Amino acid sequence: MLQSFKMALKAIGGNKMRSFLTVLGVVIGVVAIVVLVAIAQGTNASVVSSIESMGTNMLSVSINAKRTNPITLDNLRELAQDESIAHVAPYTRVSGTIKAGVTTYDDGQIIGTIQGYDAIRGYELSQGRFITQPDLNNRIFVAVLGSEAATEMFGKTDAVGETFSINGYTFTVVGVLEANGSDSTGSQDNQIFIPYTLAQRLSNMTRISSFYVSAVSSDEIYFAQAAVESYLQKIFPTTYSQYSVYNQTEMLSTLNETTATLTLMMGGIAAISLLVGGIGIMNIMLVSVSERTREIGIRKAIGASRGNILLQFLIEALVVSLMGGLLGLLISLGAISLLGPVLDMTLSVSPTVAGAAIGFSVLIGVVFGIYPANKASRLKPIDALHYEG
Amino acid sequence: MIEMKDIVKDYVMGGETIHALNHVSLRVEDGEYVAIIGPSGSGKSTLMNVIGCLDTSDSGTYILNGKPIGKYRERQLARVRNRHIGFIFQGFNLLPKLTCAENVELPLIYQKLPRGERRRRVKEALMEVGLGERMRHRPNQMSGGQQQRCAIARALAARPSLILADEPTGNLDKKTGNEIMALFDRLHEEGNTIVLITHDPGVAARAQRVLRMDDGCLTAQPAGGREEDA
Repeated sequence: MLQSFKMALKAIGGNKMRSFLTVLGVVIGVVAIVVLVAIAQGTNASVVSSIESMGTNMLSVSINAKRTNPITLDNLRELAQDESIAHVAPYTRVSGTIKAGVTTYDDGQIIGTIQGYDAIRGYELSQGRFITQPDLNNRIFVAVLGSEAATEMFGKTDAVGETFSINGYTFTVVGVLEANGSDSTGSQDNQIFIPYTLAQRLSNMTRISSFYVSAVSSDEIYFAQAAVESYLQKIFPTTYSQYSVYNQTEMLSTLNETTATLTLMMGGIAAISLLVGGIGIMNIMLVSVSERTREIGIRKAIGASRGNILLQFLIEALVVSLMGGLLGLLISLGAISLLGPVLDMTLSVSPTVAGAAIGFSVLIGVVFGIYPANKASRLKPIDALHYEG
Repeated sequence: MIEMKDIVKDYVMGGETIHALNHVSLRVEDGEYVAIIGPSGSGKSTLMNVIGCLDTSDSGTYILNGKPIGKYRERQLARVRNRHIGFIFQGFNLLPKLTCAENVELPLIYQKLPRGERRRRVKEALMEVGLGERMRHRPNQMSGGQQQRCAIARALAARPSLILADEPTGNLDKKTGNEIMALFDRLHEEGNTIVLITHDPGVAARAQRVLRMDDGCLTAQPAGGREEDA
């Protein structure tokens, strides 16, 4: 067996350029599989982690009904009385031009909300305070800034007391949040929070169309969901489809299903290139068989059996595919450590994927090596010896 | 010991049937040195291939060392070629990418001998043919005579009961050919059974017994019949 490997290496080394190109076919296939799957899994992992960072005790509610939407802050206050619910906070996006002195901050995202929103989303204040009930009652022109918004507008994070304007209205900064990074909906640090009542007035909108609910603990999430749904059912008795309640766990499982399909699809596409590599192996092995017909004849004349010849060519195909697999894996690891920072993702090759790639390339070697090997082993010694190649 | 009876082998070539072996019977005792001469196309190579288990006959019985070779399957034939027959070809038939020693070692690998034993036998066989210092050379770094010696060493290393040589001097000049034939003489003296085919009567004359092949028929060459050869 060891001897067969030595023979195979010798034969492969005997035609370096050709062997290299054959190996390359497998390498490309393996790299394609490993890198694409790693990217798909990396995407999944980063989305999952950002959803998880939002908290698993959060419900997201949106009201689809437009004209008939009767939900107001009073409704939410009433809903918040349920013992499984910790906080309820509406939010609405407001568009407007943000100016701090001479700086226009185009990337800012203005969100109108109420107290408790920070607790639901897990935001920490680095300075000052969040929006309070008096702010809402009196529609005071105050704002809480995300860390990025603060540095973009004022060049510093300790911006409490500074003023800026939205659509010409002057706001005073009362609090700045800690950096939160980005989630599936984009960066969270460019947000500017203003009192919900003020936002309603700025955007001429009276009804609440989306709000977050947090349960008192993640164990209570289903009670909270039931409470929200039964409350909304009372408001919208006619049709169920006028509102929807999402909980994080459901979102996660939907997401996982989607990305699993995506991973499978990418892996499948890449597998095709490995298949092409396999056909390359078969092609080369067939050429090699007809080129080495005389060698096969000599080997048979001095006593090689069909099995010996079969094994020799099969091992050659295997060594080529295995070399391709290992080399491909190494290159993938290199590519991933380069791509990770570029794509801003944590990419990793799981042992399963690595094993599967190697296993698949070996399988390819066997599958595509067996036909040429069989062909070689079936040559009659006398015909092979007299072959003029 | 070779015992062949009524061996028939036909070829169809261009719609015409050629009787390459036409009821050939042959008996070679252990330790004998037999030469088969005949013009090209007389069927002597076919006979050689059948003796050497490279080819099978259409009918007839062939018994080698008491074993019914004619009934053997491919796998068993490979084993016979490996252990009982040492082939020496006109064109040497060495593997060009292997060194001399590796070529000699090859049949021993197929015999599944342990590494130490293989080494010992390779060295021994190469010493026997006088190639001890050429072990690491590749065939293309050796002269024709050296290559043929290497091929002989390969045949000897397997310790066969029968050495078959097909025109062993055909690709060599006269002087080198004589050296190779001297080697055959010595192998015969050491007790090896040798069957050699040639169309060179000078080469055939060294054998104990000379047989003549004509149109697929084997006849004993009368003594002193050297001059009339093709």
